[in-house]
Amino acid sequence: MSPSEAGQLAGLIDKLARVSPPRLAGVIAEHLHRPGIDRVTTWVVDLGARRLTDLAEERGHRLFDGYLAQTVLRGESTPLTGATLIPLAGRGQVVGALEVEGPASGSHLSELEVAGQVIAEALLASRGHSDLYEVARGAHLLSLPATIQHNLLPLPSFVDDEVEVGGRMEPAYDIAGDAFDYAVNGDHVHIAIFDGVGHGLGATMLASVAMAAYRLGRRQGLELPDIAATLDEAIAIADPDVGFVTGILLRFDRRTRTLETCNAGHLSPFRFDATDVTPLDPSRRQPPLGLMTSRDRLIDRWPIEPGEMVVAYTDGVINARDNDRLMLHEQALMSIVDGARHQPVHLLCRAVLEKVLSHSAGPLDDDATIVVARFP
Amino acid sequence: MSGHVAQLTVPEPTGVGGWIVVKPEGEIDIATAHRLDAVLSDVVSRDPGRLFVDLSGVVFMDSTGLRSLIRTRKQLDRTNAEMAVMPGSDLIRRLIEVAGLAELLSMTDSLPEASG
Repeated sequence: MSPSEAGQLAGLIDKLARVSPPRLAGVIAEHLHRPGIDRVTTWVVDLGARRLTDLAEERGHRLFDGYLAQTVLRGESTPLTGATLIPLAGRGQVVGALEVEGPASGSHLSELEVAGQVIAEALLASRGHSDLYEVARGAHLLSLPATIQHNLLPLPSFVDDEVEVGGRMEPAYDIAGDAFDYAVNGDHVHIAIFDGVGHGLGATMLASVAMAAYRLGRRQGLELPDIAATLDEAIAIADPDVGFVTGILLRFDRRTRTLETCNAGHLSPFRFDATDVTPLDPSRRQPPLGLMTSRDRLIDRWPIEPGEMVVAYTDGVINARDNDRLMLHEQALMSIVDGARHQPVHLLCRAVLEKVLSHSAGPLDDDATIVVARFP
Repeated sequence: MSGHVAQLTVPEPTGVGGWIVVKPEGEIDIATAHRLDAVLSDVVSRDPGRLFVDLSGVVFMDSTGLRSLIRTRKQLDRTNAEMAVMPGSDLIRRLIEVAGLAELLSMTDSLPEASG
């Protein structure tokens, strides 16, 4: 980056920090304007990652699928007819794209790409004091349970040298009851998936309690069986009549490359190594969280070889039924995952759930969640 | 919504060898579980002593069905009533086993002899 480019960038950071949210799009367009550039549009990716919305509300929406979505979500600039789409990528996710109409190449393109990162950060930060970015990404279209769920979720993915982890849920605007979480804490990588029984607000409340109890236990440094016992107590208090949550708590130790799992009534995750796909079946099946009264939750330990991948999911993924009322079998699911296994984790999750949606005869009537962790 | 809508019928419970038998037929999911719930609640309210849920006529069940069974089990706990569940198909047997509920729901392959 040349000194003048660095100066431009510092100018943008300064402007974005002080601009009121309704003027964000205008400030971005003004700042990036150059001779020969006709127009700059700030597009925001919606919560289902299928649609782009103009932050300035001038150009409405455009479909976001196929090659366009694949490349932009991969974080790559994409040429269009007479324009270029530049990803707005921040904190491991692509939150939108700049559409720059007119010639953009060479140093100007790299300048725009860096600007895209700054703008992504500004959009994410604006959530702390404004609804504008949330509305642009469709948060006003969420159901009440889905509004609660979306506020609970971690970033869609995280990648460093030793772990790649991410997850995704469908139907994005109507989820209720499923949740996932992860945290990369020093030597330990924590991952969890939950499925609160029932539907609507009731299931969401159970999932919220599960997430809060899980995070609390994790942050207190408890071992997995004790975290699970904390969850058992919390869920039984939240809904003593019928409440339960199936789930798996996973903890990967980077030093020993051992994965610990505590499976509470949930479908077994699958492990992908270089040649095989095997279920991580627990040594003994245990009841869901909220239904175990003793504190002795069992854990299992699995050595993880370099390059292996673990995939956990909820029953909504395989219970989606087609027009002949046939479910998507686990084997079919695993071959879909296998076909997408070399993609970045967030794209892998997206690809798998797209197949689930296309298998289902109608809209999904249960949440479908997938969580993927890869250990290079 | 396109496609087929789940069907479930739950006939009146019958009495067999000291057990009240509930035998739903069809698919138990979010769209239909309320029919099973209605019959099970009615049985529970009449203090059945022994409840047998025969799932051999059920071709699909998800966690919504488990929820109905668990709620019934918890309600029967108040009167120490017995309850047993027969899965019928491998699909439902596996659903109950994977959920770690085989013991809690007293999963069985046949109508047990009424004890006591």
